[in-house]
Amino acid sequence: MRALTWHGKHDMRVDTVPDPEIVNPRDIVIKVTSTAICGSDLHAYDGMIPTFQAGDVLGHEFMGIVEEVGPGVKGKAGAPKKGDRVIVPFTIACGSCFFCEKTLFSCCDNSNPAPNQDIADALLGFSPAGLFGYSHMLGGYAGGQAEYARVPFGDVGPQIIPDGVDDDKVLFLTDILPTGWMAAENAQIEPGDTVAVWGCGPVGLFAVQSAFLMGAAEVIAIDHYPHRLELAARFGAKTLNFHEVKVREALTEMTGGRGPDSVIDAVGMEAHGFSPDNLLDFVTQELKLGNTERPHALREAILAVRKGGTVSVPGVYGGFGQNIPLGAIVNKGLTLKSGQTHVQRYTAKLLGMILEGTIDTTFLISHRMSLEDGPKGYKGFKSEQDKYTKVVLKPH
Amino acid sequence: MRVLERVAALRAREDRVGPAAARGLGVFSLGLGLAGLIAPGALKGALGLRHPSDEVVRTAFGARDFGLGAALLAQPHRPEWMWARVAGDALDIATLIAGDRSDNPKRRALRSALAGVLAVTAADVALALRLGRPAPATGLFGRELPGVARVRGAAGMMGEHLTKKLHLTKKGRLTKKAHLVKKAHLTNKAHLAKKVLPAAVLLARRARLDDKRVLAGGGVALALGAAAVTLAVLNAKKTKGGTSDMPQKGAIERAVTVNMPREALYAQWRDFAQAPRWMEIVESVSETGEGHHWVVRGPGDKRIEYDTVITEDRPGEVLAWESVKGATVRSTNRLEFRDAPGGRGTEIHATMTYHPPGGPLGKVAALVTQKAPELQVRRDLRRFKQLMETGEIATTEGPGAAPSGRDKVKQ
Repeated sequence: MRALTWHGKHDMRVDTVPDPEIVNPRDIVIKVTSTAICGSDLHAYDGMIPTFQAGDVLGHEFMGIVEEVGPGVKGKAGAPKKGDRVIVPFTIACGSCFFCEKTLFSCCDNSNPAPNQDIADALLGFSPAGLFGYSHMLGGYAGGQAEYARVPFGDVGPQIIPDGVDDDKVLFLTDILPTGWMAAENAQIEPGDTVAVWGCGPVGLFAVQSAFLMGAAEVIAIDHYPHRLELAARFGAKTLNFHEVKVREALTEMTGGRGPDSVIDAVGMEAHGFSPDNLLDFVTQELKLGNTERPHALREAILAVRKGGTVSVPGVYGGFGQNIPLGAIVNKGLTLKSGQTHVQRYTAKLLGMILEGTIDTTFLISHRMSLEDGPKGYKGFKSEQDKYTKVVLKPH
Repeated sequence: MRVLERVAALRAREDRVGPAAARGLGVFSLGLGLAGLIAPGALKGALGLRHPSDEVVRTAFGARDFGLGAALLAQPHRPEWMWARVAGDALDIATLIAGDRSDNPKRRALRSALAGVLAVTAADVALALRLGRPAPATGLFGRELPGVARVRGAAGMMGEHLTKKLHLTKKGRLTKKAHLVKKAHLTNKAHLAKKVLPAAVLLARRARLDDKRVLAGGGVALALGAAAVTLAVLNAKKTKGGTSDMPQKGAIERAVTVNMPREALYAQWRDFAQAPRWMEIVESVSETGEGHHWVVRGPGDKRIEYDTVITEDRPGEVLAWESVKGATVRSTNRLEFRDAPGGRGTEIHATMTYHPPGGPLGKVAALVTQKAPELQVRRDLRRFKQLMETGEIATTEGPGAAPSGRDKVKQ
């Protein structure tokens, strides 16, 4: 089959690779009908995520038609059957371990293969769940930017989509919509709260939408791309362009001197901007001087949030960052919540909201391409972020 | 006049100390070279370097060190042998840095080695500078050391080239901001090359004027290296603070919590014939009447067979077995099944000792081939948990399980 593969920093290629197979009883294989490039794929594209290997198939936002089901899935009540159309959560979860039972699906004990867990243990303390197409530390699974994909625990993750609903309407259930939703949930919003969101990429924009749905009185969106800020404004957010204003001063002013009740860092490890702390991170990150992150947005969020407020971090960080204002966390009494998204917890609920028209995600798609044009999609999504808000690839 | 006398006295002293130290390093080189020639794989395994070509490289390194050792012993006055050692050090450092990866299980050992090599390099540089420049006619590097002017010139050209390339190829297409980011990024690297390299060379040259400073620097570097190695050794000796009721010297302890009742887990493990499903290196286990016959794949996929007897068997609580007297593999194994607090499944506490055939060499071989017992216990317990909790064992081995561009299909 054809698949989009990672060969190093800024080197994506389309290779012909072996077809995936049913290996374990609870596997299913799907024919991919739509797959998107995620903002977190750009971290891999920039060579920022450790333990990628040349040739790895990328992609963790994908959906398609069930082509084959393993003996452990066949006939199971509620499990997908051959021919069903499904969306596939990017987190692989077994559904029966301690963590899955607590609906902490992205912390599943059993989906990361034993040898790969060793790497995660060393870097993170304990291994989280395996993810599709997101490094060998997180399983070494092939991703969905391909014609076909093997999906382990096909009876737990995939959500069956009713006939007559476009791929475009439901594709983002795989990652960014639940990620934006969980970001808002982690922000512990109470009715009347003011919420500030750093980053108006897909996750940030969905976090803005979700925050309003959860009762926020005001949402302030921060970015430097005018088009992305416009999209946030369309959902009712007030906007700040960090190239035009001093963000912390503006936030304090806009909240009557108190600071936002909750803050959301939807930026992650590769913050833009020319603040001194970010430039220093740039140098130490590039020279690999004990630093793998550029957490400027997180620092700013921690300092900007009100006393006793909540910091929610959906942005991806991979290793070890420097100069985090720990004093502010302690002395202002903050709550910090984060995590890879427990997608399986949200898919059914959010699918319901899409079907009844409460949430629309199709506005986000700026480019549709073939799989063969995938490398161009990466390049554009990386270098022209004002124009490229989301790239969807159609492998067939 | 007195100044000149002092200079002469210093020179005379230099002539004694320098060559003596060079001889010392010669012996060191000789030893290192011998080790590299005899057991190139051992070092590779201990440091977690894993490319197959590394063995060839290590052998070559061994030959190099051996040759240089001999040369230094024969001609301890000649600075060019010392400079050759410095060049060799640079190669060693590059090799070690290449192996310093997050997935290297021996990273700590490798970093200790790196600290040691850095310290030795400092000593080598100090001594080479002390011995002076090679004579013009015989010098390995020609008349000049790789000097300030040459390095500065090269760095300058590199910076210029990068800036030019950026302007020519990117300017038209990038937005202004992206352009600035890109430029900042490139010039950072160019600046580093431009400023740091010549500064380092200058420092080295200035340091030569004052031998005491060089010696002090070398001493500090050696002390730091020694401290790093000592810390690593001390750390490696720390016990893991296990909770087993039967702590044993040299025992490996590991625990895993499985979301199932004790009896079911005990029953599965008691069925030893099933062990190959979750024990990676075990090929088969069969009943012998008094115990079991094990066939395992050792280093180099060498087949090792041995017999065990059950020494403790309390259903749902304890299962222990050990190798019979005179077996090729000496091992003791004990599993305790305990209720996790709060009804959260079962804790399995594994305690084992393991002496593979071949003594210390066998242990090194096991480490090199990822068949070290501590690693196997950890992974086997995880696989057992996966099998029990999900009915299968997660894997991304093989092209069908995880297709990749590494298994390209010919069209």
